[in-house]
Amino acid sequence: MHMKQHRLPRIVLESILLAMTPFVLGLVLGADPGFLNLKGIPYLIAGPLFASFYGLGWGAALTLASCTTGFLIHPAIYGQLDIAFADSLMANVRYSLPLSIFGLLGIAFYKHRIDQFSMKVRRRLRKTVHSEISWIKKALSLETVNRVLENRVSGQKDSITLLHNQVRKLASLNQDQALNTLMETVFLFTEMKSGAIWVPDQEKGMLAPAAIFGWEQNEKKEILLDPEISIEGYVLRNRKLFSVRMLLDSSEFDRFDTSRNLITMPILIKGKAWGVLNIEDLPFERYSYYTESVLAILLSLAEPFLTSITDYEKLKAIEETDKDTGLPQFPILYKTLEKELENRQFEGGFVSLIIIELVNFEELAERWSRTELKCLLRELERNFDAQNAMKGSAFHFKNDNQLALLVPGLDKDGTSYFCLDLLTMCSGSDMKINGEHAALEIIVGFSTNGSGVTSPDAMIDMAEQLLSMQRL
Amino acid sequence: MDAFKSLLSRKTRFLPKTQAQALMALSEGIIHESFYMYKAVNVHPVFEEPWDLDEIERLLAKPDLDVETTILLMTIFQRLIKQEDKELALFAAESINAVEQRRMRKIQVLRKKLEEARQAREENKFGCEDKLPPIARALASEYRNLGRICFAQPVLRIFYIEEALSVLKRQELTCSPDDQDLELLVELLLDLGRNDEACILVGTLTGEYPENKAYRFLAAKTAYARRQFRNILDNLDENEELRAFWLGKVPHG
Repeated sequence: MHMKQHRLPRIVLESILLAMTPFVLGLVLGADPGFLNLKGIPYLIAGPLFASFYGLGWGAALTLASCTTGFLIHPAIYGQLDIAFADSLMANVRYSLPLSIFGLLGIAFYKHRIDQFSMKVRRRLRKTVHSEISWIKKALSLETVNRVLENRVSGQKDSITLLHNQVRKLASLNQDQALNTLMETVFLFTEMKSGAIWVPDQEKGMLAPAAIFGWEQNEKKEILLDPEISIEGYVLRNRKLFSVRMLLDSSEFDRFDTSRNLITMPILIKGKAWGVLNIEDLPFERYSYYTESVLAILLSLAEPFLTSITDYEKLKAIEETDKDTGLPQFPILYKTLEKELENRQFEGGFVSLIIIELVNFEELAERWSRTELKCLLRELERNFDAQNAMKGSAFHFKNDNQLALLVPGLDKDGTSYFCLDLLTMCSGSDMKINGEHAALEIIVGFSTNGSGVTSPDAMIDMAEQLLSMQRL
Repeated sequence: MDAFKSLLSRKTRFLPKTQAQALMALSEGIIHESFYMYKAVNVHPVFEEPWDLDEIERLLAKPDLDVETTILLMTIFQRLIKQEDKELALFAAESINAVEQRRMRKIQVLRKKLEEARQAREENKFGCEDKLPPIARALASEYRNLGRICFAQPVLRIFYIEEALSVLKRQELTCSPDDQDLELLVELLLDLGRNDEACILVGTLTGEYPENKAYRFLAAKTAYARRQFRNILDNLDENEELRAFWLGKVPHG
C-alpha cells in the first residue's frame, strides 16, 4: 500500500516529463508544430513507451496528454491551429496514429501477461521458500530428537542387556560374590545409596549382614540385629514386604525400629524366607512403586542361583573340607555336580567340570611339602578367579595334585576356550614357594553336560579320559 | 547389506561412527541410505560389558556433555580403573582427569567473570549489578555438578558442594534470591546431610509462600531425608499421584 502511494506521484511526474519533452523540444526548435514532418512520432511514441513500464491506463493517459500538447497546444501557440493544420495532421498521422494505438495495446497486453507470470513465479517462490524453511525446521528438530534419543539410549543404566549380564554373574556357587552382585544390581536399577542383605545367624539367634552396600567404613559388618524388634526380623518371619509408606496407615510397626528401613523384602528360596534385602537409603524421587516392582523382579531372578548356592553351602557345612586349603573334598564335588545336573535337567543350561592336574607334583614334592604344593594349586586357582569374569567353584579332586572347578553357563566350545585361558595364565604366571620359583607342569581335562552326558560319573570319566590322553 | 559392502569397497572407506556423522555422510552422498538406517538403529547402552571403548571415547569427546551422562561415564571409569589391563586402567585414569579438568576450566572461567563483575560493581559501572547473580548462580551449579561427578571421592565431593553453598550464600544472591537459588540451596544442604538446616529453610519458604508447589515438594523431600514420613503427606496435597502412592492407594511409577 505504501509502495503504491509512493509510486503515484513519481509516475505522474514521469508522465508529465515524458509528455512535455517533445513539446519543449518543439518550442526550442521553433518549427514544425506537432512534428508533422516526422509523422507526429515524438508525441505518439511516448504512450506505448510509458505503457511498457506502467500498463495500459497510464500509457493511454500519456498518449492523450502527449497528443493534446503536440497537436493542440503546440500549433495553438504558433497560431497555426486551423483547418489546414488539421488536414495536414490527418494526412501525416494516417499511419502512425493507428500504429501507435496498436503498439500501445500490444505492449500493454504483453506487459499484463508478464506481470501475471511474474506474480505467479513470485508466489511459487514464496511458497517454496516457506516450505524449505519448514523442512529445515523439521529436519533440525528431528536431528535434535535423534541426538537426544541416541544419548538416552547410550546413557541408559537399567537396560535389559545389563540385567542379563548381572544375572549371568550370579551364576556362581560363591555366596559372597553372588550376594555382592545382587547388591550391585539393586544399586544399578534403583540408585539406592545404602542397603544390606541380612541372614539369620543360627548360633546367635540374630540377623547378620551377608552383604552390604554404601556403608561407611567405620560401620562394622559385625553388627547384629535382634529379629524380634527389627523390621528385618518381621519381614523374615512373615515373608511380607515392608515399605516405609506403610507406617502412615498402620500402627503395626510402631514397636519396631524403622530408622534403617525404606523398603525391606524377603529373599525366598523354595518358598521359605532365606534372608532379607533391606534398602536403607534411596533418593526421594526413586522411592516408588516402580522401584518396589524392580526389587521383586530382581529377587525373583536371583532365586534359582541362590538356591544352588545354599545347597552347596549346606553340603560344605556337612562334609569335611581340606584342612590345608579349606576347599571342599571330592564327595562334595560329586554331590554338587549331581545337584547341578538335576537342576539343569529342569531349567536347561550348561555346567562344566574342569580338572586341573599338576603333573610334576611328586617331583616337586621332593623339594617342598605336599601341603605347600596343595596351597600353591589353590593360589593358582585364586589368581585365575581374580582375572576371569566367568568364575567357578573350586573343589579338591581325587588326588592331592588335582583341583576341580565347576563352572556354570559355558557350553563345550566355551569350556575349551576357558581351559585355554587357564593354561595361558598358568604358563604366564611366576609361582613361588618360600620365594623360590616353582616350575609347574599343568594339564587340564574337562567335560560339559548335554549330548548324552547327564550323570556325574559320565562327566568325571570324560574329563579324566582327556587327562590320561595328555599324560601319554 | 550390499550397500554396506559397497561402502567398504569405496576409496575413502569412511565408516561413520555416529548417527549424526552417518546423516552428514548420507547428505553428501558418501554412504547409502540403508547404511544410515543401520547406524541409526544400532545404538546400545554404553553401560554394558564388554565395554565399548569407541562409544565411551565418543561420548567423552562431546564438549557439551550433560551431567547425568558424565556421571555414567565416571561410573564406568571407576570400574575400568580396577582392571588388570594396565592400558585400560590408564585410559580410565586419564579420562577421569580429563572430565575433572574440563569442569574445572569452566569453573575457573566463571570465577574470573564473577571477579570482573564484582570489580565493575565496586567501580559503579552502569548495568554491572545485573550480571552478578546469573554468574554466581552458574558457578554454584557448576560446583555442585563437579561434586556429583566426584562421587567416588567423598572428601572432594563434599568440598565442591560446600564451595557451591558458599557461592550461593554470598551477598550477590542473598539480597534477591530467586526460586531456583532457594531450591538449589535446599538441595545442597540435603546433599551435605544438613537436613535440619534444610528443614528450617524450607519451613520458612513454605510459611511465606504456601502455594508454591516447588517449595512444597522440597518440604516433602526434606521430611523424607529426615525420616519424618508423616510430614511428607502434608506437603503432597498438589501431587495427587504421589500422595496416592504414599497412602498405598495407587501405584506410583
